[in-house]
Amino acid sequence: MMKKMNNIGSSWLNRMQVPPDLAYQESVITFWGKREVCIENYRHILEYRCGRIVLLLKNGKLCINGTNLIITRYSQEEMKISGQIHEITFET
Amino acid sequence: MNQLIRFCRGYVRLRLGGRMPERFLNLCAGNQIELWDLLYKDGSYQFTMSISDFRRLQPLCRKAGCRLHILEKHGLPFFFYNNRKRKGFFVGFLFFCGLLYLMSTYIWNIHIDGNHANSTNTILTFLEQKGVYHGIRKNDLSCQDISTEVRAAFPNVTWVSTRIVGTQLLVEIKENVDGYKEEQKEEKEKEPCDLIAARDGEVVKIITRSGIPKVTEGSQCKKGDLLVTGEIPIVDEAGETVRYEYVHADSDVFLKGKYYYYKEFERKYTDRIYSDNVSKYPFLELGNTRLDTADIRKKENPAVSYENRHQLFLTENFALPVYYGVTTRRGYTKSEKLYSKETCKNNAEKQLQQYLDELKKMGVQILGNDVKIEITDTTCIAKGEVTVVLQAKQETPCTIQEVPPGKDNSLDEQ
Repeated sequence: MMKKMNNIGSSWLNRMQVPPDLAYQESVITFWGKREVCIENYRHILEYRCGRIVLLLKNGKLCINGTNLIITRYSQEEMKISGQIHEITFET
Repeated sequence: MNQLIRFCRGYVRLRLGGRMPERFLNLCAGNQIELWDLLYKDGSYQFTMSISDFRRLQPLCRKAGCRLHILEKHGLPFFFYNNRKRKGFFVGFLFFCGLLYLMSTYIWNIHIDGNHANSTNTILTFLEQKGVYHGIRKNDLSCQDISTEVRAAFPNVTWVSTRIVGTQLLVEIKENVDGYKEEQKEEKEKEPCDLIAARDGEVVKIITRSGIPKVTEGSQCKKGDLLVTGEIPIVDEAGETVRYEYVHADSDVFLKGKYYYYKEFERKYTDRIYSDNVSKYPFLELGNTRLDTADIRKKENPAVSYENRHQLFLTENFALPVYYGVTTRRGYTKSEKLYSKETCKNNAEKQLQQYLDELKKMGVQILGNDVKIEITDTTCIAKGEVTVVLQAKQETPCTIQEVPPGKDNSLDEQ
């Protein structure tokens, strides 16, 4: 039943041409090589160390591992991280 | 641009320490406080934020149990605060801005482009006469009027565009390059006249276009003699003069005459022996005031001096009344010498040749000369006669004669 409701909802959103990140409250992650990443639509920072940043998203967590990670810009809407990015993982 | 705005508003670099730094960062994001250059260093966080956001941090620090320490301060607010006692600096800066704005309301350069037949100086002089000069206010100029006046004043200019760009007046012109035709002057109606001889001589050639010649080739004439008359008698069938028609006599009359030549100069002359030492004295002239590095007039030994003078230009054509240059002085010693006979002869011949060349420029034909050169102990004399052929005529008004009574003025009609 829930699955059917979800399918009806997603098809209705597609027909309305609503952007998926807005519709499904998904985060948008933009990479510039492995030296910069821009993250939009997140909730807040869980952990920030020199080699690890953990963010809480709307649906799970995002872990960024690397070296010399600096948050170049941080606001409620978006965050830009620069440095040497080795790994990005999604956790539930 | 972003950097400039941040600098104008001012920003601070902070170090964050405490129990829950991540909570502090999240509280900042939740309260619309923007951070940048956030990094984790030596167990603490460093970041930058604007001054206005910094003032809102106290309740957030209390909530998150964090402490903030200011590392650096940047921006205009801090600059003004640190230099608040230096009022002269700010007054000077404002004065500079005001002066710059004021100067930008004047024209400082007039650029003429596209002129070939009319020189730039000619056009600038004309514009000056019309009240357009360097240093005039922009509001006092009318580009359309300038274009109209330039087109009217210079007939070979076909197109003129005048515009103001910054503090420069640009005048672009196009000239008629297909052929510049001179305005044809209307010939005035010439009054009747006779031609008389302007000097004594023998008539060598006479070509009459209008009037009746009174002399022939080979005849002698004196100054004032009638050469060509403008009075044309109209005769009837019986050969009697019924009336006179008066015309403007026109003729080419060539007379052979003589010019007496005499030139004398002294054999003694003063020679200058220049020294190898050359002295240079820079100078500066401001308006009517001249600043010399040395007073040349007080130097006693005789010398020749010349100066290279340059004028200062503020822009392309805007000349300032400021001149600079160098006066070069070269001393010499005098010695009295005598021209040798050969040198005297050469100089006399040169002078004679110069005289003959000047006669030729005036249109005189030289037939020959018998100039003799006499050299004495003290002087050299060149004298003689130069035989020439030249046009020597003069116009004089005709004497209008009255027809005697009884004579019919009209011709018989048949």
